Amino acid sequence: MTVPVLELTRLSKRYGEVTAVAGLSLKLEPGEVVALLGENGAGKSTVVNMITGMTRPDTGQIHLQGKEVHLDTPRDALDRGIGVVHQHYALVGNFTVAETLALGRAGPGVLDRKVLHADVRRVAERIGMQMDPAALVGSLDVAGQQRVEILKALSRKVSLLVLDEPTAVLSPEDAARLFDVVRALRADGVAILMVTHRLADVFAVCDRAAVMHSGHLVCDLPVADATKQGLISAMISGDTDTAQIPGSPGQANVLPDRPPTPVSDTPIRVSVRNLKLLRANGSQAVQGLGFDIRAGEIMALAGIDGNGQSELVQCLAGLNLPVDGTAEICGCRSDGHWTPRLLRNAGVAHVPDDRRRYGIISDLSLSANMMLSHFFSPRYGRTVLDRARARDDTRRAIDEYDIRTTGPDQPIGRLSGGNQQKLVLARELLAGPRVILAAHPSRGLDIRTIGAVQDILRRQRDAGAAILLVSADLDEIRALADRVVVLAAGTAFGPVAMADTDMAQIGAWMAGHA
Amino acid sequence: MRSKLYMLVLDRDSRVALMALIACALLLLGLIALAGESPLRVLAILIGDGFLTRAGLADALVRSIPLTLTGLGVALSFRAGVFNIGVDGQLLIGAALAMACAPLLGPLPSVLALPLLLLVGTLGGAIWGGIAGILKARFGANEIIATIMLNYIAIQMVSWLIRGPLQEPMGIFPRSEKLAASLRLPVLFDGTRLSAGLIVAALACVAVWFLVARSRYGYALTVTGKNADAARYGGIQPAVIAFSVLCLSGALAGLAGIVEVSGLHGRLQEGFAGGIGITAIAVALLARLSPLWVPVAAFGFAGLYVGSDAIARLTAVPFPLVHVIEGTIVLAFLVLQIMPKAKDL
Repeated sequence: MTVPVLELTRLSKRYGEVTAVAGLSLKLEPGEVVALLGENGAGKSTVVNMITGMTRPDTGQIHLQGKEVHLDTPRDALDRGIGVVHQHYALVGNFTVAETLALGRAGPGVLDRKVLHADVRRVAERIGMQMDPAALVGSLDVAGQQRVEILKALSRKVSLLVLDEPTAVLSPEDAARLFDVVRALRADGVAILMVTHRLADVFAVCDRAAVMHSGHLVCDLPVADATKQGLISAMISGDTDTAQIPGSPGQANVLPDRPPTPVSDTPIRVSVRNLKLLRANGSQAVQGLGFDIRAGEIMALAGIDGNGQSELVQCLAGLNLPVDGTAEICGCRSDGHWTPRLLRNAGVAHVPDDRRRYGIISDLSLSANMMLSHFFSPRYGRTVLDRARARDDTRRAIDEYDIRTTGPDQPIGRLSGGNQQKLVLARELLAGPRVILAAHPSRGLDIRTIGAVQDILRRQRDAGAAILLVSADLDEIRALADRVVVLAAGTAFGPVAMADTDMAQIGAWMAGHA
Repeated sequence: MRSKLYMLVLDRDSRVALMALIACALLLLGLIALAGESPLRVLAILIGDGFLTRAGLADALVRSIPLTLTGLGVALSFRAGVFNIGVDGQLLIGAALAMACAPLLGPLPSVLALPLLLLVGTLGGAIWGGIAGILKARFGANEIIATIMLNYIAIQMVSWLIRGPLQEPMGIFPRSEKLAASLRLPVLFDGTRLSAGLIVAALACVAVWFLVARSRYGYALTVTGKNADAARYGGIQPAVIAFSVLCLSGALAGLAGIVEVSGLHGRLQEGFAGGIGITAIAVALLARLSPLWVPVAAFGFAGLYVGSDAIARLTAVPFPLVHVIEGTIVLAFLVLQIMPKAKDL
């Protein structure tokens, strides 16, 4: 009986009212590859953060090699042999690979590049990886940079390696190469915890699959005993029994009664053709995407985060341009003049997914934030700002959306995330938009408010708005959408009318499984 | 003032400003003691001569005019998160362009000629600021480096102008001819050097306050400075803001330059406004980038300068003390603004 490399015992973590992780227990043996699966918000990131010393658990213990440890800082985790490859790399572009590995580790004095290069080659060869130690990190593609991150983690003595969404940005060939590295590490006796949402990864390389749903570990079983359908249903509904039973048509698949899809003779408001978009780091987010959204229709854009949803919404909002294909909204075309100002004037409202970055200015008051989206409309005056009107609008929004605040003059940064989100929603819907780009509109809201937001979106649709709803929450999609497109693994599935599909199909698409 | 957007911006900043002042005062007292003087006596002279005599007060007001105008310019650009360090150059170019046009304006009646002269000076500064603005907006150049480099070019250009095309006809000293009387800002009080530049500065304060606190443009500035991504999301183009605010900031510096020449010196000469650019930054920071506090901070610094003159005359403490004060204030601001961020991490 070997000592487990990592043993988590009844770990719990709460953030305010929200329980992120509830009594999670998990064991990793040496040389074992465990997949940690779950939807967005299931608690995977919190688990990773607790293992890597980024956050401390409220209750429960972490044992490493049989000894209880307290990981207060990332440094503690590193010193105890826990390596992490985060989803977003922390690399210096104009360092060579060897210099990157020396960073923070080399002593004072002159760097002996020969020794460094030999070290890099030794570590790389051990796991059968091709790597030129003298290559500039900035010149590598995403997959290459990921390999550098892995080398960085392995250049210390590592008994546990955490890979956070390692395949999210990789092409299938690069993913296959990554799996070779994972297998080599497994043969070396390193335990690997792979956080992922792709079922293909699980079956390709993992020994065990652990599925989380709303903070709970709902199943933990050998991959050999698992089925795709079972894992999907465990991820989506937290349904523990079906994970092992092949092809059970679960109750979750039954759609509620919903109004018939609206007639298809309303004008097309949003039209996307053969669209190809890149991420900020230059990797391809999505390609060949095409769909129309008509007035009075809600199109859901489903998929796990990071599959190009942000890029698509930002493109449609005018914040970036497609590298190929065209988008057309209310007569504006992406190959012509295409700016946020123009699109806003054409009646596009945008509820951004990264609220703190795009949606609000934390230091400014609620009423100042209210003006942000209507800056180029005459609503608040052409040259002199009509602050009184902004304050009135804000006061009305506070009443209507039940925003918890001391008043329109409070800095929005002091509000809770949910209340900030309500103000953003109120602002975007203020002027009766013709097109609504809603990225995770109900994220961070309580149940009651989610219902209210969904009602509002339905009413906007009935009033003739064309709505693109980005969501990873199947319940929300089921409640709202008329049609759905799924983005996964760089491609698009659909669009398909909700009446012609079921949740199992959508869930499978979200896991990149056609 | 009912502008809450504006008041809230100041909230944490005012504490920072206060702490910067206190830190500065303590350091100052220590330095004076080091120089072998009684801190109390020196303080008495500093405040007495700088602020409490008629001559001292008038002198402080004279010095506060260019500091107010340039401080307003710096405050505007800093609000947008654009760091205009090129006030000195913009001021020089504004003054030089106005002086070059002065012969054309001379024959006109003063009511017309004087505003035109000021306008040309403003334009000169705006052009010099606009060059840095284009470099930033079009090519993504760092505005700090661009404006500093443009300072040196401006200094050399003026240096050449007053030895060449703009030199006085006598051709002895490197300086321009004196401005015609019709192009001089009138002195407000007999027996002082205080000119109508004071009125220009006061009007500029009101105008900049209106721009910042009331206008759409001011809102765009603030949003861009606080969160450029959110500005883009709202349809504001940060590049356009950066360009325009550098023009505006330069315009105010250019205005300061020609007001200095027309109201005080009467001619263009080397180093007539040396170091104003750096003091303007300290002024703007101390005023927490608020246009209505800029004249107060400018007057405070001007009084310190006048008082330091007296200290240098009457005690063993040398004049550069005032530069130490300036440097300490800027440094204290930087440290205090970084500190809360470091705590967040």
